[in-house]
Amino acid sequence: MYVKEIHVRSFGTLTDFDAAPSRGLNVISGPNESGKTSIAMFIKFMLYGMPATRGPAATERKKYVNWKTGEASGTLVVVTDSGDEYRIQRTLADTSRGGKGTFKETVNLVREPGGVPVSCPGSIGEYLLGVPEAVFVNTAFVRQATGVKPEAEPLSRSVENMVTAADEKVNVKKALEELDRARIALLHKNKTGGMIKELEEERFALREKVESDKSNSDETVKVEASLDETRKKLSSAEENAKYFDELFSSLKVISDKRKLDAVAKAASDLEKTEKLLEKEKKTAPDGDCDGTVGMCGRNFEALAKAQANYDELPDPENDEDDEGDFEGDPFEDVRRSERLRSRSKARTAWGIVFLVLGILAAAGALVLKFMMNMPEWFYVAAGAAGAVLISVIFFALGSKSRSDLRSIIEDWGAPSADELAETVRIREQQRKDDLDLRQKKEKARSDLAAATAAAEGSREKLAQIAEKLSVSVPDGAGNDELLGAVKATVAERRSAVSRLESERAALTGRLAALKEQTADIDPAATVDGARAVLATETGKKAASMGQEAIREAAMKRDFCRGSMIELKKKETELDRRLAELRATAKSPAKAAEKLEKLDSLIEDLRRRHDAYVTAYEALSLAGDNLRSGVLPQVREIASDMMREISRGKYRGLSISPTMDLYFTDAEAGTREAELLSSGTEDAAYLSLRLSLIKTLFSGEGAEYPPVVFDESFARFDENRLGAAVALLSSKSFGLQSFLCTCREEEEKRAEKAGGNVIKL
Amino acid sequence: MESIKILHTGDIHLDSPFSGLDSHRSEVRRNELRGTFTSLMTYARTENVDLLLITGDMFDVGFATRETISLLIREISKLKCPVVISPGNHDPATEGSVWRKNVFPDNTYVFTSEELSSFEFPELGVRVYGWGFEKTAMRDNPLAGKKAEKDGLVNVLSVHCDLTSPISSSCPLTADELLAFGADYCALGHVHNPDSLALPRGIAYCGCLEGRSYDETGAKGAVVCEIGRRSAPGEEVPVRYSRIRFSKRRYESLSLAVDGVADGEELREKISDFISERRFGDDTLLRLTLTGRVREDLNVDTAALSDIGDRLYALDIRDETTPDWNASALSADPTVKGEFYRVLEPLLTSPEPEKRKIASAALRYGLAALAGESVSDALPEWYGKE
Repeated sequence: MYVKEIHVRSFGTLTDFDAAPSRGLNVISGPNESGKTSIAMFIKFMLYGMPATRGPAATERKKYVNWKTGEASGTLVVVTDSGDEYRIQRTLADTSRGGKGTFKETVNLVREPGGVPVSCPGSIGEYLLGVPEAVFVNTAFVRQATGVKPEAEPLSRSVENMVTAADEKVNVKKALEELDRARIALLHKNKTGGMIKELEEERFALREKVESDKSNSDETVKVEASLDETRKKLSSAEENAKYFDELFSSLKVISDKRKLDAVAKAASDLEKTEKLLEKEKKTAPDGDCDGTVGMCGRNFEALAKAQANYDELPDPENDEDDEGDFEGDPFEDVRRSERLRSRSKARTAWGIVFLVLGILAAAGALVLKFMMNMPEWFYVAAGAAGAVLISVIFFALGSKSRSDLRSIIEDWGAPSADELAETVRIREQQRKDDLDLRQKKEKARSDLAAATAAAEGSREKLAQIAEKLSVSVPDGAGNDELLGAVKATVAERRSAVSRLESERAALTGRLAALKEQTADIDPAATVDGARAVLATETGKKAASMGQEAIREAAMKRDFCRGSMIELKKKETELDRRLAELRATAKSPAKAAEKLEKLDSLIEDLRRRHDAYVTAYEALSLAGDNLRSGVLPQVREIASDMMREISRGKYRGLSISPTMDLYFTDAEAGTREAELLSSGTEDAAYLSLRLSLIKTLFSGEGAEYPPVVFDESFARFDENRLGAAVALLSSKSFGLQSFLCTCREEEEKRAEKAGGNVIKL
Repeated sequence: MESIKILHTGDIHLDSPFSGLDSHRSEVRRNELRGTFTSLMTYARTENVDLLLITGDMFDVGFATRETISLLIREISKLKCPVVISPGNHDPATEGSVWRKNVFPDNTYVFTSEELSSFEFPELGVRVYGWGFEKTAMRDNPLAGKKAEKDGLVNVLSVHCDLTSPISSSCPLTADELLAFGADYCALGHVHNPDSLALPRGIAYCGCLEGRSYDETGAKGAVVCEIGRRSAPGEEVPVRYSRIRFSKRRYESLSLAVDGVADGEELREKISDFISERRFGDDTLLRLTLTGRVREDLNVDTAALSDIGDRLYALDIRDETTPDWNASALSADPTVKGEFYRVLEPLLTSPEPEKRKIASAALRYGLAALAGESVSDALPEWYGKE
């Protein structure tokens, strides 16, 4: 694309300036401050407008908006490579009029001929040239190679910038370093340092703080609640204790009152007892009474003994009349019975002998008669009959003796004849005993009579005593009964006295003890107190309490006091803990809020960190891509141009993958860029810039832009200047160029080479 | 008394941190939250509420202060009606917890067991079933196999539970399980923004009393529920309930597309208009997320812009705009800038917003670095101040 017409209406110092550049080399010549750069900037303004942002770019507006007219405006007519002609009209007007910097821009693009309006979404420059403003500015605007650049960097270092960014100021390496530096500032690769790491540490500490504040706060709440609870319990325990104290003080008053009552009662009891004792003593039996009673006792005892003695002796078995039976010798009968017994035995034996003789004789008679038939049998028989008769006589005599004996035995009552002697002996002994008993009995009877008489006397005396002691004796009471009654009464009266005496002693002792116990009791106060206490509920309760209830109440009171001590201790402990907690209390919510912010900050920084890493990786990849993609083409074109500008002195230019720049000298071989003269360096720079333009503007839809050289050849010698001008004006270069210069030399050279001169 | 008036609140989180505010305003908000709680209690008093249900998360363990507990005790003691508290996952009735201390007035009834239990108020004709968290997590279903009594009392279930997730650690339940239990009204706590939940009749979350972050948007409050008295066992009773606002402030989180704004001035106007149009007053804490494509050189200084919200309680502007990198220019740029853009392009157009965000920042940093500018940003102002 080339610029066909320039119509500046108002731009910087220029007003109403027109020019018609040629398709090839144009020289804009004029002294300093005449507006050469303004022409160059006008072309850019027409194509791309002016940045609206704040910052350094804003000064561009101030610089090029004419301060008199208040606007930057003009028209540019361009022709594309395909021959299409476009008219660009652009006005940037300061609408604020107060220098506030409010601008209004109007732009109009029409296709000629016919003025057909063309709408383009982006900038006109991009629409026509196919590259954004930055690329256009960085490539087509060529300044002096070195020296005038603000950051004077050696060419070799600019090469990379130029190749990758088409701008020697844009340094990918530096950008990468900057990204890496920013990344490291956030987080080191091995995560050992960086802001994120520091913030994470801070966050960790803050988290711990939040936790500790939370537990502190939680404990405060718990301790506070425990304290409240403890105080509640304590006040209830105190209330209970107060009740018990009241109860027990009531009990004390009541007990004092009772003690006083007991003293009074003991005193009255003592008095009563003493009166009774006195009365008792007056009527008490005296010592004579004791003697009489003792004597009476003895007499009654003697009577009883005599009576017993008498009664003990059995009555004699036989009457005195029977005594005659025992006259003579009772053993005569025994002797007679002995005789009768032997007589009877002898008579019976004789009877048997004659009987046997009779029987034998009878038998002999029978034998004689019947067997011997002797007639003498008769004599024998008569002898037999005589023998039997004699035996009968003997038997009769024996029987008479036995009968006599039996009569004697029966008389003595003996069971048999053999026992007769013993019976007789016993009967004799009995008779003698009986006689002895009779005599004793007689003695006892006389003793009894004497004792009875003595007892009668005693009874009378006793009766007197009984009457005196008013012993009630039932009618017909016996001596012993009387004596017993008297004795009992005497003993009773005596014991009553002694009982009363011991009672008196006990009462005296008790009274003394009670008096001692109640010594420090104020009777009047106690009585009043008791009255008051008994009017209260607690007093009534206390009065009604038994020992068991009091014991239980005492236990409860002790428990109450014990728990009060415990609760007091707990209260103190909790109070102390609460004070401690309050001293260090911090609201955890604040720390938690800061923690939350820190969390989001860290998250933000992490995202930023990731963005740095992403940018770093993408940028280094982009750099690599460009180096491998653009470099060969740039090198080829630049070599050609370098050869042309140096008129064959340098055959070629090479760029190593590490972006080192080498030149191939026709004579001395390959040299490093650093070793070149500044003039040669400028030539190399020019070659690189131009080759870059050709490379970068060769994409699809792109057109070669008009190239502006702003004092770019200031340091070229004549020879090289000639070569450069020749290059720019050559057909093979094929780009429209504007050479701004204040040097006549350049103007002349350009003119000579067929260039169009635009004079300012 | 024909019906029983119940005030159902919960998720009050007294003393808990407020996010998105500076420390001063956080403190103010904490005090305001207490004030809101006091207003609620005043409402309960003046409107003759028969029963107050607090369905958990009254405060956050660790954040609660003694003053708050005192406030709670004071406010409850002013009420004549019974107050039933069901501790939640933030204020569980742990060993030694304040819930287990005998410090609350006699009209306070606290569920301190994770087992289902009940308090009966025959004079009101109500039985309140419930449970309380004993630790911060509770996974068992205390309703399993249980049914509400079918006698003459109205049955209310007052609990802290999560109906939103079956894997929740805050007593996950389903609406069906609640319905199967057969209470006349289920007063629930845990979900702070209940409006988005579709719950069957008779089941309601009270929501939080005051929003505490931009996640808890809109006006907040408590539920007032009126239940008819039951005259015969098994009789259906009418249940009417509605949420009323108590919150002093409301959080709002909105986004504003600012595509194509020319400069900071225009951006400022656009935001200001947006706020005016919505008539947000000084009760509003607004988080405004700026979206859309803006000029690459537009500096969205959120800190400087936040003074637009002077008539709001707080304005938090988030910049999520995508710099309009003049994509066609960059993609056509044959130099390293263009190449850099082309390398980043897949990330810049990634479907994942996070990746897009990072790539966008990477592009900004990369271009700035190429322009020789420093890419390190300073830390925010608040940092280091507190």
